[in-house]
Amino acid sequence: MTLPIRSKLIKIAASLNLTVACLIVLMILVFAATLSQINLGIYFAKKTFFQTLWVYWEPQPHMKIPVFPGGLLVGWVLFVNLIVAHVTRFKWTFQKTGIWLTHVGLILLIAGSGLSSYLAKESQMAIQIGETKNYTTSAQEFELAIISEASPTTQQVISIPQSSINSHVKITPPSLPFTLVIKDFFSNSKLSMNKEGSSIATQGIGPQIAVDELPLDKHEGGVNTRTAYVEIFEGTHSKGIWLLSTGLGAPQTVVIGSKIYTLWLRPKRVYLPYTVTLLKFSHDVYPGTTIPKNFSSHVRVVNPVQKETRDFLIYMNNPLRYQGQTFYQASFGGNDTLSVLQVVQNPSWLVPYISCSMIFLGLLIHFMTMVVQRTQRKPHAHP
Amino acid sequence: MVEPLLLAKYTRFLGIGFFMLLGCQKAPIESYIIPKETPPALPAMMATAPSSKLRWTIPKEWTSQPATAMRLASFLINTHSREKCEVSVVSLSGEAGGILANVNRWRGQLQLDPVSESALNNSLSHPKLGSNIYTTTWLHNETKAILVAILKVQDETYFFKLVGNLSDVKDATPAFHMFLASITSRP
Repeated sequence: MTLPIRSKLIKIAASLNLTVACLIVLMILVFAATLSQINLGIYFAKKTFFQTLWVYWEPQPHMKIPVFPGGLLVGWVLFVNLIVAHVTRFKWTFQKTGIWLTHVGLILLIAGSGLSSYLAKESQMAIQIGETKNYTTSAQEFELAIISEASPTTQQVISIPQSSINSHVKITPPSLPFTLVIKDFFSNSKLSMNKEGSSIATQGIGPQIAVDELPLDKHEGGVNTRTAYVEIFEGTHSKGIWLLSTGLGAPQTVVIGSKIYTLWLRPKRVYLPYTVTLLKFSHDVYPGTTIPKNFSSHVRVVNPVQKETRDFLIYMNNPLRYQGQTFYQASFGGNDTLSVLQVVQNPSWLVPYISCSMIFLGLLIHFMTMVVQRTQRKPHAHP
Repeated sequence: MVEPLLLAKYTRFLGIGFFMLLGCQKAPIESYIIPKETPPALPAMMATAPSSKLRWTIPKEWTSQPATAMRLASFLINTHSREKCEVSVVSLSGEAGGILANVNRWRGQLQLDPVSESALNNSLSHPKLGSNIYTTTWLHNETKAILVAILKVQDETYFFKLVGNLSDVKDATPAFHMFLASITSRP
C-alpha cells in the first residue's frame, strides 16, 4: 500500500506553504549574497549561495558543514512545487486563463534561471590594437592544456578542466601515451626564488622556484596563481616532476617517445570558429576632465567557414552579437592600447523575456477578466 | 485532480533530470584541434637583441625599453608596489673585469661591504636554465635587491641584471628564470 504515502508526498509537494517557504529562503539567500559581495566577488558569491545545493560553513580549512539550503536546491524544490501544484490543483476554465498563463510563465522563469546557470558561459577577450585572437579566456576558471602537433598547420589540445585538478589525483587523458599524477595543487600561491635542491620539482623551471600557498582570493578582480606539481609517467617509468603554474605565464615541454608535448596551466580558453582583430580602441573623456565619456572598440571579424569579413563598433550598451556570442565593452588598459571585451554565451537568453511576457500577459488577462466579471455583476448588486 | 500514478511518472522524470544536472557539474576532459599557435609569446612579446648573438622570449608582463649604447636591451616589469623594477642586458668583451670586481660594484650599489674571493665563491650558483649554464648571484639589503645571471658566449660575457625592490625582485624571479631559460644562440 504505497498509495497513501505517495498521496502524502504529492500533498506536501503541492503545498502553498512550501512555495512561501521557498520564496522566503530565496529572499534570505539574495540578501546574504548581496551582503557577502563586500568580501566575495560576484563569481564566488554565486558559487557560494546559488550554484550549490547547500550553503556551507567552513570552521576549518577543508571542513564544510551545510547550514542553509542553497539556490540550486531551493530552485529545484520550487520548480517541482509549482508544477505539482499546477497539475494537481488547477482546473482550467476560460476565466482562469490569465492565472494559468502567469503560473506557466513563473515556472518558465525559474526553469530559465536554472538553464542559464548551467548553460551560460562568460569569458573575456583582452586584445591589443592590431592583435588577432580566435579564443576567449575565463577570468576565474583554469585548465591544464597538453598541446602537441597534429599536422604541420594544426595542434591538438587536450584540456583537463579545473574540477579534475586536485592534490593526489591521477589523470589518464584519452589518446595520450602518458599519465599525470598531481602531487600537490595550490588554488592560490606565491612563486619566488628557491634554494637549489629544496623543490620536489625535478624538471623544467620548477627546481628554481619556491611555492608558498596562499588563501584563495575571492574578492572581485582578485587574481589567484594556481600552481601544481605534476609527475608524468610513461607506463610505469617516471619522467620527472614539473612545476606548472598560471604565474609562469609560459608553457613547458616534455618529450615522450619522439613527440614533444607542451604542458600549460593557464586560464581556461574557449576557441572560436572565427577570428577577432582589434583595429582601433577609443577612450573619450569629457572635455577638460579625466572622467570617461565613452569606450569603443572597432573590431574586424573574419569567419573562414562562412567566408565572411565584417567590421563592428562595440561600445557601451552596443555589444557585438555574433554566432551565439555577445561581446560587451568591459574594460581597457595598457595606456589605451588594450581593450577587454566580456564575452557571454547563453543559449537560454530568450527564456526570461518569454516568461516575463507570459506573466505580464497573464496578469493583464486576469485583471481584464475580473473587471468584466465585476461590471457584469454590478446591475444585480443594486436591483 | 490528476491520477497519482501519472504524477509519480512526472516526478520520476524530474528526479532523473535533477540528478543528471548534478552529474553535469564535473566537466569532462576535452580534445580539440586548433590552428598552430606561436606559444605564449604573442607577436609583441617576441624579441631579439639585433646586435647580440642571442635570441630570447620576453615574458608577458615585461615591457621593452629602447636599447642604449651600454645596454643591449632593457625591460620594465609591472609590479604590485608600482616601484621601478627592471631587467637589463649588457654585453662586454672578454672577462669584463672579472666577476669579483663586478659583484663588489653591485654590492656597493646596495650599500653592502665588498666581499673576498672565497666569500664570493660561496655566494655564486651555477644553474642550468634552458640550454645554458649561468653563473648567478643574489644580492640584497633590507629594501632593494639585485639578481644577476652571467653567461659567457664565445669571447663575450653577457650580464642579465634584475634590479628593484626586494619583494618585487622576488616576485619577478620566476619570470626572469623563464627569460634566461628561453635564451638561445642566434643561428
